Amino acid sequence: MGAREPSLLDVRGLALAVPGSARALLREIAFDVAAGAFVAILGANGCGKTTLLRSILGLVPATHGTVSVAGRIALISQRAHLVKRRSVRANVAMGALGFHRGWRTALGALPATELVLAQGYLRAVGLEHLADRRADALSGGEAQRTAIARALAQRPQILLADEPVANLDPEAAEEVLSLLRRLAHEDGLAVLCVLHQPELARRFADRIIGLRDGGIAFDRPTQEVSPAAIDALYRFERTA
Amino acid sequence: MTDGKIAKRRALAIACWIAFAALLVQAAIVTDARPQELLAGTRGMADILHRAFPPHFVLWKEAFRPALETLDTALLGTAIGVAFAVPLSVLAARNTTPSPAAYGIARAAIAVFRAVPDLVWALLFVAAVGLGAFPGVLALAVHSVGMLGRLFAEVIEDIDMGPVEALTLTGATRAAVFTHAVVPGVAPGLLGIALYRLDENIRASIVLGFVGAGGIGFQMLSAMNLFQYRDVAFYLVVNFALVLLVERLSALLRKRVL
Repeated sequence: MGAREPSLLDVRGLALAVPGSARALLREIAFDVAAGAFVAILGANGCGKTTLLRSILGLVPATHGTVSVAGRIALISQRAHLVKRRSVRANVAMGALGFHRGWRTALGALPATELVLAQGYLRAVGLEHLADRRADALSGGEAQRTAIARALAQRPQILLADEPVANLDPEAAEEVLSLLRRLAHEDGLAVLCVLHQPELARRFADRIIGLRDGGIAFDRPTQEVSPAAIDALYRFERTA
Repeated sequence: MTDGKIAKRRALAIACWIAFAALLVQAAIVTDARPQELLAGTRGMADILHRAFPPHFVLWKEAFRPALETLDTALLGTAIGVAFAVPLSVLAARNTTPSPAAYGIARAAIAVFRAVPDLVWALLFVAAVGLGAFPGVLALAVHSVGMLGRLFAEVIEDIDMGPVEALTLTGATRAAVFTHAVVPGVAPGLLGIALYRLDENIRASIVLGFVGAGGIGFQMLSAMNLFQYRDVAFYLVVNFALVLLVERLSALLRKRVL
């Protein structure tokens, strides 16, 4: 896996400056993520992790650089952002609304085919038995796994996750990260996951990118990342 | 807090109370409030009450149609009001409006519909389409668009934008994002407000009868003009029953749905 797999996400020389200021939010970011890889991004608060994801999604236009994407991207946020009064299955099927842009979906209908497919995505995240439950009756971990199933309904090749376990208890966090790793390793998705917990990144990621002050401090396979290198990412925050 | 600050706060509180009392006194002067005359007039009131008792219950057959008219006026007026208020409120909510111009126009329309009382709308519509329940329906509908439009817009502005952003990122159309992410979130709130409006519109449609917009109010006015106080008393009982019925029904529905 890794180097031999094709690169699905290729970021080259990405830079983002605050308009009208010399301050850079992102500086010369360059990396790629191959199919089947689970890459974690670590860094202190305000180092540019979320800005980087938003920039990859095109939500924040970069000042310089390019983002090449081979396939569809789906995003998993810190919160699941489910529609509370709808069923888990309906929430998952809503992930496919982009494929059905006709008047029926505009009037609130969900395609029957997507509802059937949703069941499969729920099976993939281990929540098939909760398909008919209302989304507001889920636990935090279940909600986040439903959000992952909704992301799968977008049929993505690349999965971006912005601190997906920030609001979860340790057990649920492990479940979600195991799932993301499985989606990378078994289904060949390219997963780029912003994390705040270095120990979780060490346990689950194949590769860790350390961000500091908007630039890449290191980008190495997980086993080659020393505790000192991770400490250095957060030292700046403590002295600042 | 220092002693000086406490004394200052106390003085400010006393000043506020004095200002409030002065405001009430000026209101009493402007409205020409004469409580002594109310006391002196109790004899006249007692006389009317005496002549109104017992209510003329034999009128129940004649009262049936006007009562239904009042009920239907409120029902149709509220339904039309909701139908127009929903799209207007989408334009008038900051988080769903397509443009600042649409927002401004929608807010202005809501303000006009709200500012003109339903009674004035009824007078206008009676002049336009003649006497009967229909001008009442139109008056309640227009006024309800204003009242509901504003409240609906507030409910829409309060929604959790998370699901909206999540579905927008899936590439769904604006309309699909609205029906799938916004509607389920606001539907219970909107229904609650609409039921409350129906409740209000029942009372309003009784009053509208006084200006010729049909229903039980029109019957009551006619009986008053003929000094038939027992008839008036009976229509009051019907009013009370109508208001109570709709209040109970809407409370039941709210409990079921919300």
